[in-house]
Amino acid sequence: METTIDNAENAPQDSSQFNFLYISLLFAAIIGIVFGIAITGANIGVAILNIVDAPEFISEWGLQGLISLVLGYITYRMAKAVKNKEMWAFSSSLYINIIAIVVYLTMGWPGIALAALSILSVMLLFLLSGVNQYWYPNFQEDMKPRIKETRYSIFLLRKSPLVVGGIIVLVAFVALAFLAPVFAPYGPEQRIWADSNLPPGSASTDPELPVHYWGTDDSGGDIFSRIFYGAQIDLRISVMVVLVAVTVGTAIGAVAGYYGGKIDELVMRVTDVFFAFPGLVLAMAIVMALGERSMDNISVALMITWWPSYARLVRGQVLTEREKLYVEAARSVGASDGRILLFHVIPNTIQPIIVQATMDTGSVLLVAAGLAFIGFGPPAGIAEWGLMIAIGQNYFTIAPWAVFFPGMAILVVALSFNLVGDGIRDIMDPKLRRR
Amino acid sequence: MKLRDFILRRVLLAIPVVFGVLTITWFLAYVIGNPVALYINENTPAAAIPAIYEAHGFNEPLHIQYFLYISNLLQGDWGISASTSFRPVLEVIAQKFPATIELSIIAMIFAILAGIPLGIISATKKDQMVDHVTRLFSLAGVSMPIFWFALMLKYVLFYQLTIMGLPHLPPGERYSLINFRSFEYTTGFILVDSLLFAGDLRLFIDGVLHLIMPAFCLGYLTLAIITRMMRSSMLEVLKEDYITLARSKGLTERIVVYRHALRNAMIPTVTVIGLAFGALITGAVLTETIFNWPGLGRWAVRAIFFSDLAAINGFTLLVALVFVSANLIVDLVYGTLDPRIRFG
Repeated sequence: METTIDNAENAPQDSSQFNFLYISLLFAAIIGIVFGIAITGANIGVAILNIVDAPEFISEWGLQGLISLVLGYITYRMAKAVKNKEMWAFSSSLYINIIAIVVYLTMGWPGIALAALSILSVMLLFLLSGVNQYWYPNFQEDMKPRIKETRYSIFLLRKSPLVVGGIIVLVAFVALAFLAPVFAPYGPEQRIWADSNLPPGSASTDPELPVHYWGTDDSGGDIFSRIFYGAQIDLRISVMVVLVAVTVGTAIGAVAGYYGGKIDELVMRVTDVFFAFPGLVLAMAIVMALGERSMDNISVALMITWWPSYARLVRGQVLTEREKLYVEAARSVGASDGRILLFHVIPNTIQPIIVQATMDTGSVLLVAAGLAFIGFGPPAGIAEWGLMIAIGQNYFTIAPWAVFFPGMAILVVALSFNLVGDGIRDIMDPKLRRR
Repeated sequence: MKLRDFILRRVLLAIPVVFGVLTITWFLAYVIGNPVALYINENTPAAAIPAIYEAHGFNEPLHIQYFLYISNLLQGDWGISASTSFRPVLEVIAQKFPATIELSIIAMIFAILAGIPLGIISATKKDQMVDHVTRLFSLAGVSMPIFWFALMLKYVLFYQLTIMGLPHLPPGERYSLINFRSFEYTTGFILVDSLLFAGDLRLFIDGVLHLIMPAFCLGYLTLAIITRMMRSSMLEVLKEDYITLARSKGLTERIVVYRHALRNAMIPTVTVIGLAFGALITGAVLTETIFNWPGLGRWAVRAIFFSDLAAINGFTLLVALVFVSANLIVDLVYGTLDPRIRFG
């Protein structure tokens, strides 16, 4: 990747543009790090001092603060690499910026400002003609096999209609969840008491209000609207839980598999314990121990119960990978253990993790909804699918639609995650890929 | 001799696991809530409350309470479940365990009997219509919210059929309490008790009818897992050289699949079955809640809501034991399926 020597003839005479990119990347890095330290520090402060009236966004952005810290550090490393005209800095800054934009967009208006900054630095890559000239031909050369593989993957993908269907349903659900405030006829907690238990498609008793497409529940909440508002909660939880579990599990499993010995033994015994637990009951106990029954506590409980399966998976993969020649090669040129793990071993073990994570997103959704159903979730009234079923259950014989539609939503989303996971496995598994 | 050593080693290895589960649950349960709350009601005189703390050792330091619990446990005293009218935990478990185990076993039998043939058919007819339908069916099983599925089944098979005046399945419980008022459990397994001890065929049929819906609900997930595993391992095995050899000898496809391929394809499936048995008992928590099944799962949920320490600990300990022994059994079954595996 680091092909500085080959490109001597492409190198621009004037390196002021590189310095410009270097400074702007450095600027982004500093902002990211300062922001991350501020949020993380504030979070720790809130946790230790237990300030009662802490602003809501501080506790909400805990994860983003940490990620921003990491992204800031990586950006700083990239800035240095750009200054030295190392090849990898250019393609990496593209990837890192895409991740950064996605993360920042979950944070509301300050996030949008940060995202704009990231987009600006991506644009600089293309706009600065010196950088562009230097970078683009090499990048294209570098990406050629990857582009070919991606084309082939898309071709394989289009052959299986079930996977395409799954992707379409998922994208649609995510989009509808975000757009719920725009198109949903009623609010998530809006109640029209006169309209209780109306069948699907019936008009509201108040002629000025819109039709209840999927009926209403016992307290006159519009099921159609509530399902798409509920998607915000349920999808966010399942994705968050899997992201955290994958990160933690991968880190622990990779270290255990790579170093072996006592660490490995310890980690494996701990995961053994978690595997012998009745998962649902452990999650319930954690929710109760955390003090308050809420969706946030459910997600914390699920993160704690879910990481061991990834630790196991990654450890097994790393055990076989670390014996391979490329690890030896990397070590012989003096790469540190951390670098070998992060840039060589883990990328080679990522494929089964992605498949597992995609499918687990569906399973987490099921378990989270199940916990909310038994009564470990938020208080009645919040639009959450499991809770909607639990409440609809009491009026089941007169209003079965209040149970049917939320359950269908869970089933359809979980099924799509499984279909997509299955599809990714078929596409990415080298054994199945070429025949 | 070798087998005995193997089992002994596995049991020794399982001890730290069970101990870890126990420790984590104990501390979690300790944090959940004040256990004294269960011993107090509005008639308790305020002066008696310190005595309650004293009598149950609740005002001892944390670690003393923990060691007290462990030492009691080793002496066979699992504590008293305050949320189940102050009965000893072991006694409650002995009463409720058969209900859960019976449900799980029936669900497992259903899952195995349906799952393995489905997996085989799906693999041998790969990319045909049967295969697509089976795959979708099993994927739906993995993504089915079990509580919702149970409710929908109840709605159709009990409520709708009752409204239409047709014969219908019972909505919950283990047998019709009204029709068989004099029945008492002996072993706790309704199918066994009704035939051997009560000698009542009507009760047996009633028990079977009560089992159908919960067992189907509970077994569907396992069925899906088994089908998927069976399909993929069968596909893997059918690519092997010895299968090509068997075919080239002129053996019929039936013999090739069922005699040569099946046994080898069973090995990964058996692992999954063993692991799924542990998951079944967890899945029983939701199923039992909906079908009003007087088993361990419903008891555990109640115990957590009432912060009944002894009951929570007892339940998790039991499930951990079941899980560990299920894994041991799987390893033993391995040996009979694959003679190359030595217990050493």
